[in-house]
Amino acid sequence: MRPEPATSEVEPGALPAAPAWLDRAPEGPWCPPELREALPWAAAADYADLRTALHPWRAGWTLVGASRRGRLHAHRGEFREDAFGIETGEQFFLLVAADGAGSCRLSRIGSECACRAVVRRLGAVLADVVPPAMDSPALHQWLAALLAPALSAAIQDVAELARASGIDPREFRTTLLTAVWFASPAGELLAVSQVGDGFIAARRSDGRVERLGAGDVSEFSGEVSCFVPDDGASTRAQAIAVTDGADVTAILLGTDGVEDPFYPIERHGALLYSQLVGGVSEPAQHFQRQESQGPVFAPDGDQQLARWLGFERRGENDDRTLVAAWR
Amino acid sequence: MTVRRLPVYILADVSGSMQGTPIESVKSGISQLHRDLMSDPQAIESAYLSIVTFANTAEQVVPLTEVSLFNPPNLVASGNTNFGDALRLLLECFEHEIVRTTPEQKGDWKPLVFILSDGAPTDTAWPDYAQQLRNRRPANIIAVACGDQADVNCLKQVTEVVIQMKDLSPDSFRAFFKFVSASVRQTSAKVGALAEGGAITLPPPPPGITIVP
Repeated sequence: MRPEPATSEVEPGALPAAPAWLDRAPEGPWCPPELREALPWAAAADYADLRTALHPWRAGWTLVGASRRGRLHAHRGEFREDAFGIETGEQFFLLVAADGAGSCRLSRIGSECACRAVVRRLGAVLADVVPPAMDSPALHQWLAALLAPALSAAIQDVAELARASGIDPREFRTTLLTAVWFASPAGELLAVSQVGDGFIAARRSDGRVERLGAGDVSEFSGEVSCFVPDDGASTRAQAIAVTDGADVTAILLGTDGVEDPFYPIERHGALLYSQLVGGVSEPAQHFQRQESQGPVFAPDGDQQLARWLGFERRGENDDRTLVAAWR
Repeated sequence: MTVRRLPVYILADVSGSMQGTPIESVKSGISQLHRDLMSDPQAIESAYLSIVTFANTAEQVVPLTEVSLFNPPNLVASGNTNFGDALRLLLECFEHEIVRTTPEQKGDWKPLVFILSDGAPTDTAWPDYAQQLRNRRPANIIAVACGDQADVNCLKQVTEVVIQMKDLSPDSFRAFFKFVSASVRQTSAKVGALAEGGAITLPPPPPGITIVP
């Protein structure tokens, strides 16, 4: 039998009043001086606690993304460490999200650079590629083979940044979630790649919300077995899963700040999706606060998504990033 | 969708050699730690404290309890140093109290354990339990060798992270428990790759407390 808590016989002293969460601006520059030469764009980059994007695409698709600094970083006056990217071309769109490892000094740089590298590298190979005429399984392999070296090169870009600046690559550690929608004449394809935790999911026309990426789950929370740009990250990133997209009505990528409150996505993904498509009328179970709001999958989806990411659940105070496409 | 906890275990040596100022300092240090954590909203939401003492036997005097419900216990020093029983009980606590990730729920954060001891074990079973802890790595363990008589080599067999507190004054214990508080605040973040043991980065120890190489 477990012992009961002992009665205090020690004068504990006055306990402090219940502390409030603070909202402190981060101190210092987003890009530290030692990286300015290697990242010329970063000097002019405006950091924001909240970043959103909304891109209509063709064939009825709309792409939306938002990344919001978590309460813990706000309380401590630290930068948001999540990042995301969206890129479109004539025959493709791509969504990318990244979550810098909280224990690494420059993970905010790593996550942002990883997203930019994926957008640049994959955007380049997808822009003008002509898909071969082949059957579905072969086309899946062709797309995976097309994307794999570009993803590897994107990860190498982050490693190269560390090398060029003389900084331990582990300081840039980040997760990396990538989804590519490719509309070929032979059919629509969805390709995904995942390094680290978070989730990638697709909503099918029959209502199923299906996890696609290989989540990095360990015994305890917050432990990830491999980050970008660790050795092995390229191998993991190149384990690309390709699926037919004809019945896909939405694609969702979320960092762990979104996944953990909805864990497991296999069970709670439908709830998440229903809130995005239908709005919120009452807080989800176990949430302390979730404001009523309109749907995220709407013409003002970026603003709605920014609001949606503000839900409160005990102990879940991480940065939150969700990137989605719907039609 | 349950609350993810950061379990924090304090294993305190309450053998006879801790009588007097040291045990009083540990008691006030635990109260100070509680006050510190109560001033941090993240700790209030996620940190859970447990106190395990060991002398002739080990006892979990406070089971894993959320910070806002925690009552600092009274501690009395007497008897031998049954370190093996403390490690056995710690492993048992992990088994019963720690939630691990499953396909249905997220697990707790990796537990944080602080072991304070001022002497050498008086039992013979401790090496087996120390080996189990080292093999299984169920927690981030920080051992504190208190004073000159503490058996640093024994603590090193439990964990690589051993710190030495030579001075057993109330000020040293106060500084140590501030270090514990800072470690707890720093821990609930995504940690390094599991290939490296998933070890956390600790804050720098305060003056007077050194890391044993």
